[in-house]
Amino acid sequence: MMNTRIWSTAGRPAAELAEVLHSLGFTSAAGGYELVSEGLRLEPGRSWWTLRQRVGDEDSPGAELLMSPGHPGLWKRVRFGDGIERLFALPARLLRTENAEQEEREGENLIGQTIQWALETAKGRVPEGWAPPEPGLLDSWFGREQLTVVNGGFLRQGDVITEPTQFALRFPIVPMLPPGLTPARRAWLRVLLEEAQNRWHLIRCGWLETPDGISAVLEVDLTGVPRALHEDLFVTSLEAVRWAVHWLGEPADWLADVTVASGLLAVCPSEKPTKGVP
Amino acid sequence: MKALTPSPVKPAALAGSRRGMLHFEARDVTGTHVIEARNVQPATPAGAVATALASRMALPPNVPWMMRNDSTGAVLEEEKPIGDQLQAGAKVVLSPKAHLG
Repeated sequence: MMNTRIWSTAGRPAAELAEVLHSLGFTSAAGGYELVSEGLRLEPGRSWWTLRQRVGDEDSPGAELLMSPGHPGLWKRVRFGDGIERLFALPARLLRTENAEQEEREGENLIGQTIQWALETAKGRVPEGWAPPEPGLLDSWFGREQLTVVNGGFLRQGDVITEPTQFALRFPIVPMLPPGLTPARRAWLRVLLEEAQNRWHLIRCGWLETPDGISAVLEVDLTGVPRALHEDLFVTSLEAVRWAVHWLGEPADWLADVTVASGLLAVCPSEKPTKGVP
Repeated sequence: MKALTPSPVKPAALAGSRRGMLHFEARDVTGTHVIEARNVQPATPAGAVATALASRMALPPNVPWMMRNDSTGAVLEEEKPIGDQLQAGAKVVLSPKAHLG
């Protein structure tokens, strides 16, 4: 049988996608859609759907890339050209086929729910009526051993946070910053974390302050995620964060080791941003 | 020969080790390598900790390793969190996991 569906980069008929987005207030723009009132631009790419929002120049007060862990949803700050943007990225395959068809059968709209998730969490809010997955269901999606990353002598234990208003994966990359860590070393560590945040979608990095001290963490915050995406996005996120922990672990460990002497690391890294596109 | 038995969990002793990071001393069975393990997350399975310590000690990677609490002689259960089985400041011995006939 001939496939008569219209091709689109989103894997959905373009007209159908445009109709859904227009009903949410988006207007068509070159290469994507814009929601002018929120300053948002949506690009439904072949691999990733991205929502971008410009937050200001490098010198503006809001220019810090690393955020405090726990902000609901996938939003994070990344470098884009000479400036900084807020970015919400989602694997495009999750919005295709089975997930979307299941939701449509149930009279819901997955694209609409996903955009609503992004809009609500952009303001730091959790969509009304949202709840994290049930513990028993969550446990059926993965093995607990996947929360342990061993890479040679490097070892980290991650955690799944399921609270009524939070659903997140979190791995410490440096479990405890040593008290003697110099400002220059910490600045190098920050640069490494920013690099990771820029490099990988879904992953967010930050400093977590506890009564015991400060740790550097990686997280994927799925708070507010539509129910139809729960399992697929969780499984994808777990793989992504494990990969990032592998990638970051050894250099982060080395930078945080106060017994390592280095003339280079005694000097703060350049604060001038390097051009790069996430 | 005395059988190696898993170390029992001691709930009363756990509260302290669960709060913060775990620090302990580890050595291999020959005493050649001694490592001060710092900032070990208490929730980490003991088996994973043994694997990572063996790597740090450059011990053969193709051998499964286990840890024994030096003061009690109890073998740590590899799938249980290390913080449930060790107290801060403990000493452990890393041994190859082998069946001896």
